[in-house]
Amino acid sequence: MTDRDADFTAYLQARQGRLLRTAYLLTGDQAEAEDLLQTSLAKLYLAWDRVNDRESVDAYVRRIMVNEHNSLWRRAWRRREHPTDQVPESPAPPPAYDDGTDAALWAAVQTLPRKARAVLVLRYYEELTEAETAETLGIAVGTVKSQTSRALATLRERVADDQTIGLGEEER
Amino acid sequence: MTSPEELLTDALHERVDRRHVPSTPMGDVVTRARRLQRRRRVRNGVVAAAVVAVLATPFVLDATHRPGTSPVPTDPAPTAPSTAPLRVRLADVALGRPPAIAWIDGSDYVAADGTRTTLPVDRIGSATPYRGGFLVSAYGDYHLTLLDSSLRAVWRRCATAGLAVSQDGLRTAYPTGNCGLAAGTLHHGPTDGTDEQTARFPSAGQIPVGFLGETVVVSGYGGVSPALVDADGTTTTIDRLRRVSGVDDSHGLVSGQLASGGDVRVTGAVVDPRAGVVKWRAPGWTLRAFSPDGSMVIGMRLDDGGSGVAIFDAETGEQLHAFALPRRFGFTQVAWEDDEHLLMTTTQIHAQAILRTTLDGAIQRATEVAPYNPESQRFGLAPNRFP
Repeated sequence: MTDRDADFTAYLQARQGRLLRTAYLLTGDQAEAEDLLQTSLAKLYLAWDRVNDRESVDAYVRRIMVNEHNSLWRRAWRRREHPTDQVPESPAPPPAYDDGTDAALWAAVQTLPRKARAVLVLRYYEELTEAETAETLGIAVGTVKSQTSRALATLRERVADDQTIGLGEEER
Repeated sequence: MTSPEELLTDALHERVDRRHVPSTPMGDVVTRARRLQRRRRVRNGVVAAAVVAVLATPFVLDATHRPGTSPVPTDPAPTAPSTAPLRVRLADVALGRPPAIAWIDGSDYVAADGTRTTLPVDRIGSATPYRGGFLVSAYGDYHLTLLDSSLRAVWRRCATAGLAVSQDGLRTAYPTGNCGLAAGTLHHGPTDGTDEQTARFPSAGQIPVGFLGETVVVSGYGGVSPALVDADGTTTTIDRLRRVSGVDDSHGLVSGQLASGGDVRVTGAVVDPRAGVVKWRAPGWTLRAFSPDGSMVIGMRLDDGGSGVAIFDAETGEQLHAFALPRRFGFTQVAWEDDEHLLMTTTQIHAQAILRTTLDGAIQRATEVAPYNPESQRFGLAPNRFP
């Protein structure tokens, strides 16, 4: 194994778990997330020698992942033509204390347009700043702010009114 | 009290933190990387243009042939767009899947998922979901109608064409009152109709064409420069362009026709309208829409009896693909179905259909062929890509 491959393998082992989780939040599907991650890592591998700053590799991969997901979304109709014999994935067991809030929020997140969803995943799962999110998505900070605000408003509307989840205006 | 942002963070972490993470073998990554590399070499290779290939077999798995057709075999030799595109009958082009973005079929609004809604309007020119119902315009009728969720007319106002929807589908803009010589009113806001804002168009003859964030991009004809209209009504003229055709929200760019400055030749350009900077020019080309990921932009031109199409790198202006479309095919609308396919509303003498092309010029029909009437078109591409 070359030094380059050893370096890349070390990164892969350290970060692929976190990156796969981000991919899952973007796609909502385990198989798609694994496919998205593998393609993103492949592109990172090709660009590895150009990524001088190892501190920014995560940011670089996130950018690849979001852009690739945008492309994959448009090809989703093609994937429907490839039936699989694989057993559908089992969902993660619900937490004992969940009052339905988390499930309702996740269901609402999955209905968002892909770009709005990407903004929320980067801001609230990856916990990037607005500036970091803007850089990752290649958009203005103002656009991040407005998309975040609109997406949260949309979540507010779509989650059931009778749930005491703290997103409703009346609870302020 | 837990803030909404904290609740969302908790929900997202809860969804994935205990999820099983299978390992991604290095070998699989390297194999896929090599495949990508081969694909890039093919894409960046020397291909000046491809002769249009009428597909003898479908390029998607479930496309169907029309009985009795005799498709022309593919010509593998690439040629420049201006030389001898094939003569093709629209009816002989193989039929593929319906459009995967929202489209108009007669009086039906067909959402991207195939759901059909029959609207109580004849000869629909354009339609888009709005306020739970639809905004609808009709050919030859200079009015815009708002239908509610029960498809009852809420209002009908004088308006020329011009429905614009943001790339994420969350914001919509439309004009009213611009049927005469005076500038009309620009309406814009969330697609659900809440918090609609109004502003005067900077000049007469302008319509909305897209969004940059909450800013509406407007464009028109008759020598009036396009402009940006901010949420607070402030306007900024885009004086480097004569007309805007495409808007890329993700990178803050617009495409269109360069203001001539005395040069009569059409020159397409991509511009950063906020900075007032021309990113690159494409002499002889009319630039249209950006791809969904903002990385490419369509260029079109008339060549020797046919239409030439080029796909440009949106950042650099490098020509990535170029091909010629069949002679005597007329095109009105063109849009990206996804980052690898274009859809075009196409007419040929007395026939019309929506055509799908790959970036290399392979074509198939996305609809049946219908009789064409210049007074109205049966097929159209809707401004809102999302269902």
